[in-house]
Amino acid sequence: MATDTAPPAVPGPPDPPATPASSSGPTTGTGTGATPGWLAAIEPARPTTDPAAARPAGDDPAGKTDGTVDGTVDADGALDRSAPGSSSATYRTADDVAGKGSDAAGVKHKRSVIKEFGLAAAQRWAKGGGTANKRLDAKKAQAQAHQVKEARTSTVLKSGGLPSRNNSTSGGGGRNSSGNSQGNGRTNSTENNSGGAGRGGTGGGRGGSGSNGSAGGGGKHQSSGGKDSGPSKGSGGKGAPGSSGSSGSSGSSGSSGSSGSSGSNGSNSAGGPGGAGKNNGTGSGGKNSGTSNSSKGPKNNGAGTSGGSGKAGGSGKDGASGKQGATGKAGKAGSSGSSGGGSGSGGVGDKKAGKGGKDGKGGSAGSSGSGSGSGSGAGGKGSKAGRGQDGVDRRTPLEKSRDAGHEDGGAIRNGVDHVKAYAKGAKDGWDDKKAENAREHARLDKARDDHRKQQAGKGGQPKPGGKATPTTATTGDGRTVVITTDEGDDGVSTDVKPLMVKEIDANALTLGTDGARGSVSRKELRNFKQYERKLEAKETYLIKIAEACKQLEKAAEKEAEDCQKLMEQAKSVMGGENVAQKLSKLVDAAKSQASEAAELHKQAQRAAEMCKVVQTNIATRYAPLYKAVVDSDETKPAELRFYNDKGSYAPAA
Amino acid sequence: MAELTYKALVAKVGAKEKALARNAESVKKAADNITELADDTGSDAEALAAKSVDPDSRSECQELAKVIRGVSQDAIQYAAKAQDTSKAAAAAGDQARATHADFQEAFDRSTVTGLENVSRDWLEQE
Repeated sequence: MATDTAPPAVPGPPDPPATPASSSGPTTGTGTGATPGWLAAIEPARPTTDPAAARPAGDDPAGKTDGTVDGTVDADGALDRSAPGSSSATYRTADDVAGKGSDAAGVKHKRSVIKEFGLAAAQRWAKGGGTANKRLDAKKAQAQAHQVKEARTSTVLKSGGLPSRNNSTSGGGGRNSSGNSQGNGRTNSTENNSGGAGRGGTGGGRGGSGSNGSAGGGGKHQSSGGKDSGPSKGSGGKGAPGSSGSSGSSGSSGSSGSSGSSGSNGSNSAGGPGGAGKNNGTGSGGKNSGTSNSSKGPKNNGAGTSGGSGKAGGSGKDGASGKQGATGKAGKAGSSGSSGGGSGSGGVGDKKAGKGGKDGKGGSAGSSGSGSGSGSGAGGKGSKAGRGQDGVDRRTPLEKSRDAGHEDGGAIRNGVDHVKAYAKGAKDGWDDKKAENAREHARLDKARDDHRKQQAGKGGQPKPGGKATPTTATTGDGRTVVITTDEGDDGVSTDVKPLMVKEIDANALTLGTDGARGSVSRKELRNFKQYERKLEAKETYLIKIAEACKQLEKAAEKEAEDCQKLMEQAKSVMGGENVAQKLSKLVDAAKSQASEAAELHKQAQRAAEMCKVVQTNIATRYAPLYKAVVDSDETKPAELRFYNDKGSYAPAA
Repeated sequence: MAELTYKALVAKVGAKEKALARNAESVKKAADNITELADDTGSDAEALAAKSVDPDSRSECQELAKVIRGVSQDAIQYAAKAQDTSKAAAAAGDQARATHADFQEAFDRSTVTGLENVSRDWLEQE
């Protein structure tokens, strides 16, 4: 920053040395880093110092100080606003020293002008800062007022005790602190709020604080209104100024507005019966009552009594009464009341307020009554407001902890339950998926086993991958044929065995793949030779059958004999007629079977003979012709009609 | 054969039953084969007709087919008979068991010496 600002600030003369100076400045600055930040305001003026420092005659110390100043300013300019004057003074001294060393009056003059300018700017800046601060404070107060009306009222309560103190003791600042402290002493949260209100007041003016206090007292609890009367009586004059102060404060609080309005309502109604001072107090009190009334009732009474004690005791006693306010905390019952707050507050609060009023003054009572009215309105706000004050106010620390614990415990329990639910859900999902997948696994395993069995059943046939030409076979024509079979397709295995075609001839397609049908014949009879061959095959087959039947017959006969013997034996054993009966049936069956076998044997033999006959006949008929074909140079005779000429042609004579 | 005993009877009948059942099954299969053969012969006859082979040969072929079919039918009948016999054997075995199994068991458990010589009237039911 220093370098940035420097160029414009330096009119003309600044020489190259300026840079060294500035450079030296920072270093020294760092060295004396401890230098207070308040010098910062000098910032604008600095450029001029640089040349001065740059002078050969310029003292090192001076330059150093300047440098340090600059450095610090640059580093934390924000800090400095507060004390511009002092910073300028220091600057001057430093400057003077430098100036003495240097002869250039013009420069100095210029410097002074610039300095003035800078100073003015700095002051302006500082003021601006101040105003800004104030503005911020005001805003804060406003916001606070907006935030919690109840809070305000609560402050009033405390103030009931406090105001007297404040009045007697205090200044504005003191008040703020006192307000806060009081608040703390009496009731926890509300006090804080009140502290805020108090501040606002202080911002406006000092007396205001006192008034605030009083107003607060009234406001806080209508009973406090009663208090007010107490204090006001006790202090008398104090009370009156307090009230006036309160009006002032109300002005300040007026900014806070909304709360103010409710309060004003309360005050207005209260105003009728009560005095002016009271009115003010009640005004704020009205708000208070609005929120706190219902529950506070009892407290109020307590406060009221405390107010009485305040009268007797004086301001100091008021403080004591403040304590009672603390006892007012006992008003927890009141807190319950607060929960009732919204609607019910009106009635109860009124009564209680009335009590408070009695305790304090008739007027105050009136005010309290009015306050309660408005209070019910506030109560409408809700349990929130009620809670805010009442709950907070009246709960003992232990109870608060308990409540907090309850809330936290609930939240934690919620979390735990969520986690539990999640865990259970996860487990369910896990189990479900597990069962599902188990079924799938079982199915796949079964499929695999079946496949293995099938492969084993195919007699150690090489695995499909081992075949060089898996799915295609080349026929004699050079065509590629792809043959697949659905045999053994279990619907699960995708392992399709390719078929190898070993050969295809005129009659049959022969497959080389095991497990498939060996050959596919067209079963078509085309010529004599085929027929002859077929008949031969049949004959041999039939002969075999005949022999089998013969054996069968023999076996059946033997069986029948055996059965017969068995039956006789069984009969020979005395007893067991039932079994003998069955056995005789068995013998009958065996005999009929034997006869059937004989029949079958005969039939088979006949078939075989017949086959032989057929074969012989066909051979007798066609064998010579076939022989002629075989002997000829043709594979077929001509159309047989060609040979159908029965006439005899004598060779040409 | 020595004297027939219950155990021997049951064993024999059981063996007969199994053998006959097996026999019937195999005969049935053979019958199927023979039926196929007959059908084939019949188709041969048609083929002969298609080639306008002489009628004698064709009729002979058809005759042959008929005979073979007869064989297959006989075979099937025989299989049925064998099945019956097997069933009869099974029935005999069951009857024997039903009647005598308990006697046999009691006899086996008995510690009476020379029980086999006791007259069967001795144990007659009143």
